[in-house]
Amino acid sequence: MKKRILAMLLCALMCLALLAGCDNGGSSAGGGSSEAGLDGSWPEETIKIGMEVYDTADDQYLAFKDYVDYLSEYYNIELITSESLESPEAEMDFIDSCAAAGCKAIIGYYNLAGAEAIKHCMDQGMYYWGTEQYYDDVKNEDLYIGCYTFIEDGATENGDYLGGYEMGYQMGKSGEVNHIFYCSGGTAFGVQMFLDRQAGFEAGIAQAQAEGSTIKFDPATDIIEGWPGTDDFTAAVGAKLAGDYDGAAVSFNAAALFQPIMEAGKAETMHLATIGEVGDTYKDFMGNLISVVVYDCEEVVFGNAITAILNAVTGHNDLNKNADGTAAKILVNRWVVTDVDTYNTIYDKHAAGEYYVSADELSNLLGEFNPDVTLEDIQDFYYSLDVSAI
Amino acid sequence: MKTKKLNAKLIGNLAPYIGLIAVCVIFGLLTNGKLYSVTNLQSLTCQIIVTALATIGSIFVFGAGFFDISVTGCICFAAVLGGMATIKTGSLFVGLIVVIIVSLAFGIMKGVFASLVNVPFFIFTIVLGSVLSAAVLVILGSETTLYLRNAVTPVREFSFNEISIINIICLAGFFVVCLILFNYTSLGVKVKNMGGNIVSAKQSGISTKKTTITVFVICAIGFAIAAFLIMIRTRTVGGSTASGVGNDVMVALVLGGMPLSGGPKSKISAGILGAATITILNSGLSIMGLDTGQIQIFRGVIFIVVVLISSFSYRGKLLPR
Amino acid sequence: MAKNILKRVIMSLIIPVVVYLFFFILCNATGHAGFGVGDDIKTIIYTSVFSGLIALAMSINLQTGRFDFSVGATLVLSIIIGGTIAKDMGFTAAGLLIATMIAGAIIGAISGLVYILLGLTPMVVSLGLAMIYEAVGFVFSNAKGIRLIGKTDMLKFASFPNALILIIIVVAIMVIIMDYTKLGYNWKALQTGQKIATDVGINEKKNALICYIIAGVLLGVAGCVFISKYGIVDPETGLSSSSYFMTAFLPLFIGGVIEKYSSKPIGIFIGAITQAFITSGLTWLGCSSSIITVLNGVIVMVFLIYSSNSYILVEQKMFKEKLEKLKAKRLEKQSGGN
Repeated sequence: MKKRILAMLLCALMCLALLAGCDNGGSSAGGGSSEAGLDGSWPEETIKIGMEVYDTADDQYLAFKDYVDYLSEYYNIELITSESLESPEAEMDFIDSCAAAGCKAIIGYYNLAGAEAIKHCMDQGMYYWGTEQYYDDVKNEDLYIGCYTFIEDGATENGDYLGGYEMGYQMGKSGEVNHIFYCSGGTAFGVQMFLDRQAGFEAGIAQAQAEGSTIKFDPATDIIEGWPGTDDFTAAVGAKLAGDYDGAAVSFNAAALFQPIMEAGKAETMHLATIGEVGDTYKDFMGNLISVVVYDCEEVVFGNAITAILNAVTGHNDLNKNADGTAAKILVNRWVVTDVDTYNTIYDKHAAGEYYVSADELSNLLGEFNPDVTLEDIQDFYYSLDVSAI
Repeated sequence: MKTKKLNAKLIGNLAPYIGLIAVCVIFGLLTNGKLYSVTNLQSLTCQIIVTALATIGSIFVFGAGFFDISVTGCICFAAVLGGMATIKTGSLFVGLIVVIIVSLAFGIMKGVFASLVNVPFFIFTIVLGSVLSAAVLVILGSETTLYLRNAVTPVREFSFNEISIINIICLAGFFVVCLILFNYTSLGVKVKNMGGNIVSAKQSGISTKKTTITVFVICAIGFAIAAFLIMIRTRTVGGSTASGVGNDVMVALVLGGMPLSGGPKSKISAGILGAATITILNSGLSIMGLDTGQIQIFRGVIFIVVVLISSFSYRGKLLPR
Repeated sequence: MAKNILKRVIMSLIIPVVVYLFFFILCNATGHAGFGVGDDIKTIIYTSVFSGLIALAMSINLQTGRFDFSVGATLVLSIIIGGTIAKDMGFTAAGLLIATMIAGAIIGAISGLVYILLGLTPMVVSLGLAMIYEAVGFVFSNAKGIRLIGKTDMLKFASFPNALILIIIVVAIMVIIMDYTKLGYNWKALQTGQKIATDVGINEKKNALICYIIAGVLLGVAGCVFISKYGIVDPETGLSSSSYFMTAFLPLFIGGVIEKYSSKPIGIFIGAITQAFITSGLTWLGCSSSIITVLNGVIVMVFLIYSSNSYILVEQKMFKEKLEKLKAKRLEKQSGGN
């Protein structure tokens, strides 16, 4: 018996140490109050928002979470995030739990079950924001409150496609890269966004070549599937770095490629393009190893979810709807960062706890604070935020 | 001294119940009763079903002393082939038949390997699971995620209420059949005997080969129902279908008080108890809105505590293996 | 004697050599020159060192019937803790290695102690510990894992020839421990007869605890090699760390086959090299990662079936010989009788 109690103590001790560690993470909240008189007491009832996440250790997700934390000092909102979602069933389960927790809306930051998940969410009386690829299936539903888009009217490609396209096109156009390989990430596992990014990348390369670039890329031999950490990924990257490649495009966090590149002695000659964050990970490498970061600025691209949700729950859902009653898409820009100064400007602003869409600016987009605001105003505001404008 | 030992044993045997009640009460309080709202109880039936079916089926396999962790791979493979058939024909019935056939085929294959081919079975199933999960991706090719609404003719859609009713019927039916088989027929006795000591089971005249294949077939039926229910609930199948079920089943078995090495202490009730505990735990943790780190710690601690309490009933000089 | 040693060397090396030649010829015949030469060898060595270390760590406990589910979680946690300490203290490569080894040893000791004190099936205990270790790694690093990218003076153990030297030292130490110490003798005794071994006075609990500590140290080394390669380790959640031990099985079984000609640790490392040849060869041939997983799994199964049934062949051969002898005798008798 004594031994078992000892074992229990051992576990308890470990957990205590952990919880002690937890406390350091929590920042002292409640310091917020702004020009518009936002102090976190509006709306009266706390608006709980569920968010579907595919990897809870992902940089972009963590950056967005920081942004919502910042906003929650000014607005009475609370974010409930899923664990790393593994399967369509897990996604449905999470939506159910959100409904039980009293969430008003779900942010579809990730989606495995497609339109079925959106319908499931709406069946339970929650608003759903996001996942453009299923827009046509649900656009007429009252509870579907739109999504962001990178696509101008008339174009058919989706945002991930365009992200891939920018990587391919910018690398081709730069003229510094002769032979490039591409890390496709989740393509082999059927994740739609990676399929789109790959298709976009190939089109971007083709476009650059059509404009006279001599960049070489052969989809049959120059694509690496899967994620870092597996034996075959290691073997494939090793094989590529041993070859004549001087460029790489990575459809996920490229950090795992830095060390192998340096190890291969190619730190000076390699150029990387990646879809990723302006954050700590790339800070020291921008401008030398990294040439292109296709960056989805979290307050711009995903932040409009908060605007849409706050409008919807406070009786201004018309601000989320087009004239014909369909859900409105918010056209935003992908920030293609190609120089180190731009990178540092964005980095420094975020590091100082400031955002390109501040709490005050956001209040201007809410029907409650600004009765004159229209859908066009919201769309114009978000579209005006581009990397060239900062 | 003797009563003390008996008490410890009693507590150990009651551990799964204590765990379940504790989880129900604690999370009921922590979520201010939100856990037990009518809609959430309804959705809990959806959440519990896959884990419960797979766990109940697995009790036969584990009870007979076979450690099978290819659950995820088998369910995923069956669901994907079933989904493909449904989409090609537009008939859910055809899909169901395919799911059952595929699942039974794997069940029989595992049974044959377990009984006739001399391999370390546990490792065999780890490898089988990873092979099946990868094979699904090869079969799917560039298609990757399949949506039932793309079927040639529209596939019947079930409402939330209908799915809840189907779930309850399937679970109750399967559980009752398994309960009878496990507790009131010779099969249950044979299974426990085999799990306890396969040599003595053979010597006492049990046809171990026949029994082995039977337990895998029963288990496969549970997997098939689970795969089919996933299909009609999510209406999507793909490489990620059923991911995590394998781990949930193992955790559920342990939380339900099932000795993973099988044998006479195997209990069919462990399937329901364990699945209920892990589902309510997961749901409660999500409803509370904790972040991932805290959820992980909570789950780990509750697991260890339940295991610790149930360890009171085991006594032995040698270290268990 | 010399002939005997020669035979043992040949038998130990025949599997990797055949696999190498097979892929070398196949790759060159299909116009994929580059397999198994130059830089590819360096990749192969890294891959085999990493999976070899995990396989070595697993073999210690698996052979005595203790399947440790927390192998991946231990690896990740030891590198997150050890790496963070090394980074904060400004250690160099050796410091990083020692820090992760110590972290691994402590985690291994906790695993061992909990197992011994609880007295429950190791599978169950390690399942719970894996959850807790993952959570600790996640919370400790604020979900960010560890990043040592660019700290070249810290990340030296994945490159050639350092990785090779490292594994040779590790394998040598393991051979000494397993084949020439009391610990190793006791371990073998416990492996084949738990009851008898404890009855003759072997302290099983002490032995198990040390095994867990050694496994923890080896996983710490593996973690160090991993981060030296990538410069980054992310925390895992939801038992996803279990994917780390998937690559350890083929080395274990090949090791089991080669064992009788050399020593277990050597066999396992040779198995890891073989696996690295296969992975690299298939990659050069342009197979997708899912096809590689399927093929790898099939190869593991074939090995599994062979290694656990090879005694049947030997038995049959024996029976056949006996039968022949008997028949010959009978014939002799018959002819003698005439």
